[in-house]
Parts: sequence; C-alpha cells; structure tokens
Amino acid sequence: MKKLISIAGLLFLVTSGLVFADDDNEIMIEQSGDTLTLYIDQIGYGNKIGLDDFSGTGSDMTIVGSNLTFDIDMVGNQNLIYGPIDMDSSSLVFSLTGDSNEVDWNIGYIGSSDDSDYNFSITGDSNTFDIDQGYVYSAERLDADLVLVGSYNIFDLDFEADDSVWTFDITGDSNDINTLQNDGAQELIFDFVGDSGDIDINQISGTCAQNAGVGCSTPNAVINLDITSDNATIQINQKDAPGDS
Amino acid sequence: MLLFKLIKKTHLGILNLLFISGISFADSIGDIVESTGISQIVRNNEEIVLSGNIVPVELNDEAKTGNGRMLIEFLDKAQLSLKEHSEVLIDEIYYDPDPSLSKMSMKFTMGTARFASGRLGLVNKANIDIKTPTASIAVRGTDFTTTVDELGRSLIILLPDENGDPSGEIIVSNQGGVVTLNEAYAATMVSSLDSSPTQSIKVNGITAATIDNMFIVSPPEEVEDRIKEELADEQDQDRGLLDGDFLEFTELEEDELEEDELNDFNELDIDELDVEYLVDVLDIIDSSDLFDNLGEFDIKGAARGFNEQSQYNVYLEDGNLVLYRNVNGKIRIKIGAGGNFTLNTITPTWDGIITGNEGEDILIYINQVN
Repeated sequence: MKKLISIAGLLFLVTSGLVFADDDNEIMIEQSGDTLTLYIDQIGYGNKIGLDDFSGTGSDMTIVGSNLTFDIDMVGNQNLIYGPIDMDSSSLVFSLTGDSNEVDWNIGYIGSSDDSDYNFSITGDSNTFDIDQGYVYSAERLDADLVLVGSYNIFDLDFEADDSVWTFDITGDSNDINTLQNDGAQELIFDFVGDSGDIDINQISGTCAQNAGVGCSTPNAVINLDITSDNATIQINQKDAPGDS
Repeated sequence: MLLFKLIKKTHLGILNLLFISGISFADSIGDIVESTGISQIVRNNEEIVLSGNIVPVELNDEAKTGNGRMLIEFLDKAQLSLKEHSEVLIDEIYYDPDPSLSKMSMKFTMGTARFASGRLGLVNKANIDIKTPTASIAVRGTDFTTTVDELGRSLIILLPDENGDPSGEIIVSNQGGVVTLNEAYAATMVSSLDSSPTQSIKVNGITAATIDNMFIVSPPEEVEDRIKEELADEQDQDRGLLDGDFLEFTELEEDELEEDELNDFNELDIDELDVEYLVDVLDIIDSSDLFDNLGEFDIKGAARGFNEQSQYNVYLEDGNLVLYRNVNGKIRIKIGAGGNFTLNTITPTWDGIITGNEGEDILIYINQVN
C-alpha cells in the first residue's frame, strides 16, 4: 500500500510512526514497509530529522523498505539528519539550502539497500556530510548525483558496495571531500570548480585484479575528473585490496 | 708508476662497489670541491651554506651562488662550475656499469654555468641532458657554458679543448628549431621556448674565464648582430598589407580536415589497444624530457597524443586539457584552460610527474596498485 506523506514546516500529520518532538522542529521517523512516498519540506533554523536521538548513533531515524521514494527539502541553517536506512530499489531526492547542516546516514544498516538512486542538491557553506553506503548489508548498483554550491563543506562518503556510479558537481572553495568506493565496478564523475579544495578519491577492488598483467579492456574502476581551480590538492588511489598502498 | 696503477685500481674498485649491479646512488653523487664567496646548496627546502669545505652533493640538490663561485665534481669526474648569481638543479644522475644505461640530467636555471662531461666515460653522452628554461642541450662534446637571464633567455657557447679545437659538438633545440654548435666558441642565443635558436655564430676575443653574467647585460657583439639579422629577416617576411601579393592567395588549396588530423589529437584518436599491460620495469623510460604546448598549456613530462611511457593520452577539449589513462583502471582528468597543475602518477608500469604551466596550484596524486 502506498503511503503519501507531506510535511511542511512544523505542521503535520502522523502516520505509520511519524512523531513530532517538542523542541526545535524535529521529525522522528520510524517506518517499515514498501512503496512509501515521503515528502518533507522543512523551513527554518535548527530542524532535525531522525528518531529520538540526534547524536548520530544507530538509534536515529529508521527506514526499512523497498521501492521507497523520498523527497526531502530543507531550507535553513544548522539542520540535522541522522539515521540508518535500508531501502532497496528506492529513490531519494534531497535538497538542502543553508549553512552548518549535518547529515549522517548509514545506508544498508540492518538490511540491503540495492538498486537505489540518490540525488543530492546542496547550497550552503560549512555543511558536514557523512554517508556510509553498504554500512553492513548489501547496497549495490547505486546511482548517486551530488550538486554542491558552497564553501567549507566536509563530505565523507563511503561506498562499500558494488557497481556504484557517482556524479559530483562541486562549486565552491575550501571544500574537503573524501570518497571511498569499495568492491566491484566503480565509477566516479567529478566536476570541480573552486579554490583550495582538498579531495581524496579512493577506489578499491575496482581495477582488473583478476586479469592483472593480462589485459583489461573494460576496467572496473573509472574516474573522470574535471578541475578548474587555482589551488587544489587531489589524491587518487586506485587499488585492488585495502592492504595495497 | 706502480703507485699510479695502484691508485687507479683502487679508484676503479671503489666505483665498482658503488655500482652494485646498477643501483643508483642514493646519497652522494659528487662533491663541491671548490667554493668561494657566498654559495649554498638547497636540499629538501633547507639551505646549506658552504664555507669552503668539501661538501657532498646529492640528487635533487639545487646549487646556488650569490656573490661567489662553486665547482662541483661528479663521480665520473664531470665538472660543473657556477659563476656568481647562478643556479643549477641537479635533477637526475644514475651511474650504471653499462654507460649506455647511465644518465645525467640537470637544469641550468639562472646565471652562468659551465659543464664539462666526465673523462671516465661512465655516462654515454647521448644520455646527458642539460636544460635551460628555453632550450635543451644534447651533448656530443665535452665542454660548454650557458648564461641564462631572469627571463630564461639562454646564451650557449661551445668551448675549445686544450688544443684550441672544438671540444666536440652540442645540439641546442627547443620547439622552435635545432642548432648544432661544432666550432670553438660557437654560440647560439635562445630567447623563448618556441622561438628558434639563432644560427651558430663564432664569438671572437673571449675565453672560458671571461664568460660570465655580463653577457646577460651585454651579449657578445657577434651574437647581437645575429639576433638583429634574424629579426630583420622575420620582419621582411611579414611586410604588412601593402606588401601582400593577393595573386598568391592559396587558402582554398588547404585541406582543413587534413590539417586537423595531423595536428589535433582528440578523444576520437584514442586507441585503447595502445595500452601496454606487460611493461618491463627495466624498460620504463624517463618521460621528463617530454614537453609540449597545447592551447593555454605549457606541458612538461608529456606531449600531445598518446605517450608511450606514461600511457597517458593528452589532448585539448574546448580549450581544457585532458589527460586520459586506461591501464587496469581508467582515469580521465580535465584541467580548466590555463590552469597550473602538477600530476604525480605512481603505477606499476610508470611513475612520473607531468606539469602544466610550471606546475603546482592544482596538485594531483594518483597511486594505482594492482
């Protein structure tokens, strides 16, 4: 059964385990089941989306299901989004406008999250993203896009999953971006415009390990990096095993 | 005589020990045997001020003189002397028991320096590579000077041997052309990377001792005359609108497509089959000699098209520079038009540095391990 939930600002309904807390604008989600369509529009300062704990631990927002559609739109500063997410064949559209926001998601925490499609659009400064795809369980065949316009943002993106394709479009100065793509075929398309960026790109087990020295016409590790910058440091590691270096 | 033979055998024995199956020297590659006045070695960003003592020289040392002079003697007895206000980077020196595998590479970046190749013959002259900011010098002789000004303009003079005969032959080249110097005191001036060296001209009335930085302020008369002549020739060839003969219009005869094919390596020209997976580490060739100009990029360590050593494909795309490599992992880097960059690549098949517009600003490290 398809559920449609739309939340605007502080207003709204509670269905299937959605509860509003007392302080700030907190949206607590504990959801299970398939084919959820969730729209959240939060406007204001200090908004939070999670369960009942915004410390970034595992008891935050819990979402489990498949064929889910999330559309989260946050406008404001110092917003928080935390939680473990398990969602197969799901679509996530996440738009954030504001500064000093924090996003900490563990995807594939207690179940698989395969075949997902994420679209992040971030406009603002000093935001912190910590996303772990395939945190425990499988989270393969991810197609994710990130458009970031802003400075002093910190991104730590780990993808311990096969077959992920990431498209980054970063515009801004002094951004610190750390990516890890682990297992199987990995592709990263990275368009970077800005000064003083610090970018680390790690692709592991994506090269032609089985055919090393014999030839590999279609390597599994692909990095496509466009840079326009007056000052940036970029470290790219492509290797077949975590122990290699 | 017996004593001489003993000394010689001892010396060769030391050299053999140093070779140890072709391992490059990790530490000293020579000594500063003389230094006067203010001079120093810059090593790992630290300045070592010389005070007249014999100081070992190491790879990547930068020899600098202020109001002083310096004489360096390398292990093969090659000598490098610097006059006042001069700088030389000792880029690469590798001694192998087989001289054809030995290598010596230096950059003369400022002032007046003199190089005389080693009499021990430990490095084939073909493997000696001297660069100035605007020229490369291939050594087939033994003794020459370079005088480089702050703009990189380089005056190169072949010196005579002890009999007054030319000490051999040196070939000066850059993107603009090639000139061979094979007369004692034959000289050429190179003004920029893409302007051809002047034709060889013999300078009279000088000796090795009189060649110094005064030539920056006042080049030898013969050289100045040569520069003026060649400048006049160029102007004659570009005589302005009224001098044009419109009957000689031949634009329609040009095949633009053919020109593109010849000059513009692009993405469509990439041949994935060019990739070499089974590179013998011993065959890895230094690519530091490569250079090219593409659009707004002055590239060193690579050239447009497919680079066999690094296996990078290099081309322009809408004014941006693309470096594409597909060996076990696919990496494509596009640098915005005119950007400065240093690309440091470490892979099982090639290690090297490619720079654009003198490097840095955008610093990219690639570490690929299979």
